[in-house]
Amino acid sequence: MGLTRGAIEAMAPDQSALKAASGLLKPGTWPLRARSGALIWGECQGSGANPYRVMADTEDPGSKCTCPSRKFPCKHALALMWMYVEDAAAFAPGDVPQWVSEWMGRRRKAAPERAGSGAAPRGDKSLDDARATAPTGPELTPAQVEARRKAAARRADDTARSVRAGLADLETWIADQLRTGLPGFVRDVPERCRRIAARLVDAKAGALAGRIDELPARILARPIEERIDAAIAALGKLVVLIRAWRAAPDDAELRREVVAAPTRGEVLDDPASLRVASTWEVLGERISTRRDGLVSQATWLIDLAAQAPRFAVLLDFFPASAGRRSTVFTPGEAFNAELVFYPAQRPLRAVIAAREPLAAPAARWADWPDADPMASFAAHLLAAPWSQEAPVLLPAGRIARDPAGQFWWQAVDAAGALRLAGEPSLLVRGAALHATAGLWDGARFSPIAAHTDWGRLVFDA
Amino acid sequence: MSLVALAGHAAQVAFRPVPAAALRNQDLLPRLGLPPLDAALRPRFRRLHAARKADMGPPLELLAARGRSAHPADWLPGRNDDGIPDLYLPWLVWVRAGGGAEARAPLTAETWDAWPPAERIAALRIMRRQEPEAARALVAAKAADETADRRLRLVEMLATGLSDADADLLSGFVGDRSEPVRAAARNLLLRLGREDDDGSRAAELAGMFDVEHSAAAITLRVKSERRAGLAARRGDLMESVSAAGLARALGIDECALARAKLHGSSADDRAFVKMLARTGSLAARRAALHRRIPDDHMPIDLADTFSIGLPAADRQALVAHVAQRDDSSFRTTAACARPALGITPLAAFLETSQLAELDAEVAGVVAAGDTWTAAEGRVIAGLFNLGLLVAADAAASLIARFTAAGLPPADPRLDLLHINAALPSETTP
Repeated sequence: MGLTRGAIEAMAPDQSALKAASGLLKPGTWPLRARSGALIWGECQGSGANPYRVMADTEDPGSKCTCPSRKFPCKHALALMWMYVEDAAAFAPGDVPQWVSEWMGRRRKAAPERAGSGAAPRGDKSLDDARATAPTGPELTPAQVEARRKAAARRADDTARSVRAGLADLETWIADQLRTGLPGFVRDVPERCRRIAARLVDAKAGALAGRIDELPARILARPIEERIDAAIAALGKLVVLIRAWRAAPDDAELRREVVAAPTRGEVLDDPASLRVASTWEVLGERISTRRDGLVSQATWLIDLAAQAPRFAVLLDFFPASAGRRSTVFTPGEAFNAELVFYPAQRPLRAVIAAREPLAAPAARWADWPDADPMASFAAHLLAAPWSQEAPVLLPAGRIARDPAGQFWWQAVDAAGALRLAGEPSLLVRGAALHATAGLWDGARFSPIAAHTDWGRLVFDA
Repeated sequence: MSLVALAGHAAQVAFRPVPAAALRNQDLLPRLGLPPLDAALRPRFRRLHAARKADMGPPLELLAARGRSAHPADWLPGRNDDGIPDLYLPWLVWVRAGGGAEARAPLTAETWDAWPPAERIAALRIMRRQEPEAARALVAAKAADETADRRLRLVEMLATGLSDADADLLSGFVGDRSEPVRAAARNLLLRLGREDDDGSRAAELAGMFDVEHSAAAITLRVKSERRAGLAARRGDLMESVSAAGLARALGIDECALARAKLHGSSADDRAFVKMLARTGSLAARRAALHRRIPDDHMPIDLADTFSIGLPAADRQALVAHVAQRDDSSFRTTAACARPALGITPLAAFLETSQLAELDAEVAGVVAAGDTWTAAEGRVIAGLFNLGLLVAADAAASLIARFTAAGLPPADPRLDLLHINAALPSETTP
């Protein structure tokens, strides 16, 4: 059958899908486009931190994309095929990557008697119509531009005023919890947090509301005897955050912690954003479902060319109703990339501006000289005391158990021990850990990856 | 408010939980005698494991036969995994000891009671391969103090590395107060060619046959007698008499018995073949192998019972015969070959009707596309069993054969063939 413009028009679910695909025809949106035989594949950078992986078979047309869209084929797949029929030379020859092979391995070719018979009629679907740009409106006059600027400023003032009021409410709420007793707070923490979080949403402090929504899970995950301490730590951080925002409401990091994070485009366009071009290794991924129905997908990276451990996290959110999303990066995978960090005292959250495969073997983070991981954690908390956790790189150690059966990471010289969150796998318990990367929150260590005597191991979330 | 902020920050940075008592490291997972699977093959192995769940014994045997072990991040034995290669027994002992949480002194008569029973059996199996006399001595010293269930496990464990040196110990168990223990001991003695009586059962069984000598072979003809229950009695006797014992009672050589033609019912056929397979000496089973397996009247599903204890060369001869008659997607052939897997040349399968059927079934599932067909299960089984059986170059040829028929190269059904083709060609003795 083969891939043609007509075939793409026929397989598109509707004209709006083609219109959406036309918006993705910019080469800059595709950090990767390649082909091998009849297979084409690419990575499309959407609005999230992780690109979508898209693949198609040009001989027996079929496609797959890792985006959560329910349309099939989605706009990414349509765009990939569209670019191919218009300019196949833009797809560099390459070895078929594992994620494409796996799709082909699962894919069953369409039975001959069904090929073509199920295709939707072309109807009013047209690539040319999708590409035609909508007519722009008349240019604004200087007065209109000034009016729009003043309206934006008024909106910003309204937001700031609303947030200020919301934070005052939150401060009163914290004082009430302390006054009425922390045991009662811990006992009723889900209900009490839900109510104040709802008020903060109304006050346009959505990011802070999300943080408070997750607070009950953090506190209740601790054993009963530790929950008061966890509540003190959590409430104390909220006080610090409130006061920091009041002192610098225009600070970009504080705005992100309280109001909302900037878009990927805003981060990329901000000349003040920290940009780091280096060799990065994927440590692992953490996926969690939030109370607000969003799934948080955090991909942790480590800079292999830095002098000291430098971490980054790619953060994406998508509705839980979209179902399980394929991971884009494989733990242990390394690549050269320019990361652009969200503004922060200790930058961690980032987006990938450009990425290319690794040309030469990279350094191993397990070979770095031992440093004091707790000193780097303390420095992180000093710069950003509202942080709930920070990544650390631990030196050589083993997993050990206390008489109560709880698991700890212990340095090989027994000089330090950190209590683990959760129960490590059997293999990890029996491995010599040359170096371990993970998250420390002051009470619990959540390992993400380790170099061991059995090679590189990833810890399940 | 400032106080709670300070307290929270101090709790997170200045203070850190410390263990209330000394921590204990878990024992390191022991290294095995073979290196782990190459990194490039591990994704296919993980996919195979995800598809087969607990039934990983045969693929692990293939890896071991070709000098590799599973990587522990991809597979570790479960506490009750007994059907795995002996290579992994150190891991089994480690897993059963709570993942190395409970260090233990070596198994001896003095430390016997400190070992949990299941781990004792695993340790004894390892000991039987390395120090059979020591294992036998331990069983002799401690079995009498164990419960009937545990004595049964100890007797069954003696099947590992069974030899004439075990005969006296087994004879002692024939008088055990538990019937299952007595039966297990008798079966093992029969495998050693020893009866537990004065030969009266063998004589009774011999009396049910007429023996005809000819230049070509000996023929055993079941005497026609109209006594009720005689057929059933004959079946019972064949369960409890050894091939050597019957041969003695008939006055013929054991190998001649193994080659003899039997004229009786199909039930007599099956019982006779099972007796030869279960109790025949190596020479007798070799003789039966060459005489009976090619015979269309020999039930092919009993072929794997002949393979127990056969040297690798004899297994290969068996595999070649069985493959010609196998109609179980090569399942019976693979069972006969184990644990000598991954060495059969392609020639052993090229003219078989089963391979021709598999070709047709692969073509059928390819043509059906994403519509499920009844042949799907047979295709999966056939490709898997061939993946267990063939040598590396044969695996590569089969991959080319089936991808030319339309299967995608990355099709999960080809995973074991891919692993086989990429493993070292040299086999582990």
